[in-house]
Amino acid sequence: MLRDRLGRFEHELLLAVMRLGDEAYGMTIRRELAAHTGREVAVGAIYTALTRLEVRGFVQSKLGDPTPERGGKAKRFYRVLAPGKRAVAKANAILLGLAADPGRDPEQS
Amino acid sequence: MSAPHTAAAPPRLARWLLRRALDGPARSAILGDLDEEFSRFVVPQRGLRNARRWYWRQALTSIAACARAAAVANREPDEPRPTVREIMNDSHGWGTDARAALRFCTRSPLTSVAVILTLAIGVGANTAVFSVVNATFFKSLPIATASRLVAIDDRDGGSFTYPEYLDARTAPGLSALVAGGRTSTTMGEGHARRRIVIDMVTANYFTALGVGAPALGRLLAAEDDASGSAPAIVLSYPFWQDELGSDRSIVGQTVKLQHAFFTVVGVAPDGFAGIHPGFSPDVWVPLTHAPEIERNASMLGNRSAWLGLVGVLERPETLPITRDALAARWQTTRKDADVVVTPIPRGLMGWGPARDVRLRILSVFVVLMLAIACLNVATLLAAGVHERQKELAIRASLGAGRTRLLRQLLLEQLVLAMLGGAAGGVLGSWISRAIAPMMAGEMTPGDLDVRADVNVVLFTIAVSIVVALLVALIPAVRWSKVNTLVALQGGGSGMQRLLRSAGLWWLIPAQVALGTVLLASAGVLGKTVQQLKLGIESSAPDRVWFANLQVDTLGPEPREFDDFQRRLRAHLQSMPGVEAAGIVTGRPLASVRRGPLRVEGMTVVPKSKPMPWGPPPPPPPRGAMPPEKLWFVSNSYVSPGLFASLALPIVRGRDFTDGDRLGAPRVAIVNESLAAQAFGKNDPIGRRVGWPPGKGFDIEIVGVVRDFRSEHLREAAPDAIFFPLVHVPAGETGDRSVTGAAEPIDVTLVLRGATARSLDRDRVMQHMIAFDPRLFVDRIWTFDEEAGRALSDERLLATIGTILSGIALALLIVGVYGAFASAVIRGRRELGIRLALGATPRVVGRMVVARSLSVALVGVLIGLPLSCAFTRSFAHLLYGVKPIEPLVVGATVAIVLATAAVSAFLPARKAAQVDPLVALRSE
Repeated sequence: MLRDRLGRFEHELLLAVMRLGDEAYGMTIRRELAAHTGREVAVGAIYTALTRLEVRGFVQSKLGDPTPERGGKAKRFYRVLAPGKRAVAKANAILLGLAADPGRDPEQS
Repeated sequence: MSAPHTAAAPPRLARWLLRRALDGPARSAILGDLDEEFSRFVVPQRGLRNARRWYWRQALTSIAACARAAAVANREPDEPRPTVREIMNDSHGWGTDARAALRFCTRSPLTSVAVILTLAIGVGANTAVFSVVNATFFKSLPIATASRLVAIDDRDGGSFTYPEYLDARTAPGLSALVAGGRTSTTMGEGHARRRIVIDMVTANYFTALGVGAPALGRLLAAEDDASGSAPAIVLSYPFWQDELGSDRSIVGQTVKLQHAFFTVVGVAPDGFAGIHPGFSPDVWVPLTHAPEIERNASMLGNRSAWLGLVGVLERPETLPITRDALAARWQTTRKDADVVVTPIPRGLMGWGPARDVRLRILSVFVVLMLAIACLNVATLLAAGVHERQKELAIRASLGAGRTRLLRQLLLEQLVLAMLGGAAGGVLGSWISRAIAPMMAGEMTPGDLDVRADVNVVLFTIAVSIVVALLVALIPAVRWSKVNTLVALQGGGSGMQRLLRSAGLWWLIPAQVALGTVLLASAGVLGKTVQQLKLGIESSAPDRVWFANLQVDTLGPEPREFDDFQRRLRAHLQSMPGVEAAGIVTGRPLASVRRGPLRVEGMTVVPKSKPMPWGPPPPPPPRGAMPPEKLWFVSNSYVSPGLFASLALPIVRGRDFTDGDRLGAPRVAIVNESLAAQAFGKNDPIGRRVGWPPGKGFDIEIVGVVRDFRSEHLREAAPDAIFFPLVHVPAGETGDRSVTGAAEPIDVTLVLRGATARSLDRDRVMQHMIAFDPRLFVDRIWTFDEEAGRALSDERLLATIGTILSGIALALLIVGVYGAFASAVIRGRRELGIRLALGATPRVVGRMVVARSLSVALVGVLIGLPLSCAFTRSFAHLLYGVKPIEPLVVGATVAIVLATAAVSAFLPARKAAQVDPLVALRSE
């Protein structure tokens, strides 16, 4: 069960990637996270987390085209795979369940 | 490096760092993302300056994140993180690490040798002092009965008579009782006599104490006490070895002790040196034959209390039984019926608190030294760890966890520390053998058995372990912070950050602080020695020779002595190279004689100056004036020429002459101090005084001599009066022996050589033999040696303090140099940037020296209060110098700061020579 648990940062990261759709690569993910969380995240941290998620089969990456403003470096685009989406849904449910009315039993919902 | 340096470009250094620190596919993506965001969003939104700062932050935090991730990824994903215990139990890894540690030690032999040497000095000094402490306080006597041995005293520590001993022998609870007394006498005849220390003991001494088998012959046996027996003598092992050249034929030979002949029956076992540790006798004789030595038959009577009693209990628990029985027994015969029975497993300790103070100071010295050595080694090793970051990183990337790396570092340092400890143990046993004789003073023993025993070995091992942990943990703990520092490195600004990041910033001030304490203490002690010597310097002590002479060739007639001293003086003056010669009773700087002086016409009796040491003056006989109404002054009997040979000028009146003979009017010379006390500003010449046993004022003062600290170097000159040698009362010159027998006339010859080299021991001896071969010249020594003996405590402490301070300073130089040299190497880039931005080499060099000085200053500021507190604790040992002496403090600060500046000089020059282009490109 622990294998598909998401850390908070991983959770945010996957949500950001899903939100960005086809435009999800390092810089945009970073800006998306910064815009929504107000935290300046290191781009290195994003890549290490994504690499970990990739190993677990939650995301997939592919190389894009190099652009001149990137000094000739290719973008690395990310896409959330089905297990990743399931993990996100589960994490969402946990948060929502916790945020719901205290009187209600989550098993009955 | 070829990228164009446009205004919107990200910081080159940060970018370079990123490229270096990252690897794998993420590198190019991260670089691309940062560049893109930098130019597209950050610069337009925040401005170039903040954008660059943003880039730096991104670069460094990204590196840190990737480094962390790499460390995590290097472990098997599912394997739980190994605990410290698991790593320690991993025997395979231990072997590898141990090999790696040994390899490391041999790879940088210079550092290893420096570390081992430094630790050896620190541990060695501690081992040496502990050996002395151990020998003084902890060593049991090497005899079977040590645990049951007790000293029997009355409350005042008084002595016992022989009949009392015989009576006490049968006390319950005692398995044996031994009595003994000590005296010094001569062995041999004529000028070939030598002075020896004899213990007069009951014949059961060796058997009762359980002393092992003799080295030669036999020990004393019960029949040696019998009155009809031939007097037997047992030699101590060192005496037999050193004085008699281990002559095996000595057993059965006859030796003469002063007046009596004894037959050598054996030699005590090696290692048994009596029951006074450090004060070993040369020989033992049965005390029933002691009266023959000094021809004093009353020694064994019931009025002559001179024996110390040492009992051997049946069991340790029988002590109270014995004590109560003895108290009951002596209730009627002794006034002080209080009997004190003390266990003495370590023997009878004869010395007072002075010794403790010296050992305490020495202990503080060597602990300081050890702390400095540890800090120094930690500095060296920390710098070494820093330089090996690349190697450690490689090992980490090959799969070694941080704990594993820590273990390797610890092992390396433990190996070094243990080697240092072992070397220190060996060094310490050498040093202890060297300082044990130095510890000998007037009142303290010189033959302590400082050979290493279990205590010393355990102590050395314990110290080594503590040292090993200290020196290994400081760099290792520092290293545990390296990971984040790696990331921060390069982001540092200025030397301060550099030093701080190197983890050295507190090691150096700590060393400086401890070194300051050592230096300041050695300073005040050295000043004390210098001040004490000032008092005798004017007499050129290296040219003055003393010879102790025992005159027992004369009859009782005073004329004979008068004639003798006249001939002797003429003979001495005829000696080539002698500038002046005189004869004096007593021994300058070593003997104190006081007597009550009466001054004609004096109404107010001056206060007697306190005795510098020794027993208080004897109580006055019945009917005499109470002591507070008497003026006790120093007195001695001197021949003409004595003052000249000590270079003491006669400031008024005249010296003694040959005209001051027996039968001539009695005269005296006083010193300035006495003259001022007795006569104020009036002329003392021609005034009259009285001296016991005379009743009237029959002595005329004929001269005033310059003051001289004749009794003790620490005391001001006593009020002193001098009488002509010919008036010496018969039998009053010698000290009385412990048994109360008068000793032969004891005088000191004083010879003043024309130069420091015009006299020597052999020539003085030959000259005396030529005068009369029967005379016993006890000892020949120089004034310098006498002063040295009087100063032995202070000089010992000052010498050791100075040596240790010197070592501390040398270590400080190495430490500061090492720290700053490596700081400069690591900070080359920053220095390069500074130089590129317009700092001149001179400014950069000055910056390094200033940093070193400020670091040292911090240490001095911490060290000065500490040293004040320490020197205050032995203020009573100081003379002519305050615990906080401005001169010493100033010199200490100057020396420490100069050391810091000098040792930073080379790194500073290196820093100034940094070529900015090379520095920035080379990395």
